[in-house]
Amino acid sequence: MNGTTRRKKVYSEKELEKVLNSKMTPDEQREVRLEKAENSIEVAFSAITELKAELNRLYSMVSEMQGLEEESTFSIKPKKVSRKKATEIIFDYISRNPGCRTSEILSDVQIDPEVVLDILRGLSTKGKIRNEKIAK
Amino acid sequence: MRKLPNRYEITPDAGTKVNFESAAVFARKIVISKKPVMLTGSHRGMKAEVEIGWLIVDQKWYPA
Repeated sequence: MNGTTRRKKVYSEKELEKVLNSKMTPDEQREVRLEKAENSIEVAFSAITELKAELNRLYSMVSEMQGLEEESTFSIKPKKVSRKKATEIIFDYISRNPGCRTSEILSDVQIDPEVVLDILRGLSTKGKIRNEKIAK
Repeated sequence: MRKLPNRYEITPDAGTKVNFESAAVFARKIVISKKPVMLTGSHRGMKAEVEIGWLIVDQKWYPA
């Protein structure tokens, strides 16, 4: 043809699909479309289930953290005990844990810190317990 | 009720430096920074910023 070579058309994937589809009968085309739709629906469903699982995980994490917060803010209530009972508790604690620190006693016995410190001083002056400075 | 002065409880003025060998801080908020800071010219340590609380200089207790 006029001495010029005709260029071969390069089809892109979409164009190829179009060409292939055009050769199909309308019924076959419908089936392919349905299959495609089914696939995309399946993919969407799996994505939704994954998101749901992630959401549940996050919910559980948040509730756990809230629980911890509640515990940390509300569960520590100083014991309401008489001074005599508090003295017994503190003396017992020191007997069971010789060499314990003041801060350990304060955090473990869960009695009003001022009362604990006062009792410690009282026991010390009475000679029932002795204290030692912490030095290097 | 206003508390009576107690030699074991002090509320020092702002800017006071308290030295201790061992102490524990009881506070509403404690933010620990692990970035090295200078304690003295030749000593390094860490920093904790604390809000609303008190500090107790620790000592060891033994039954007599």
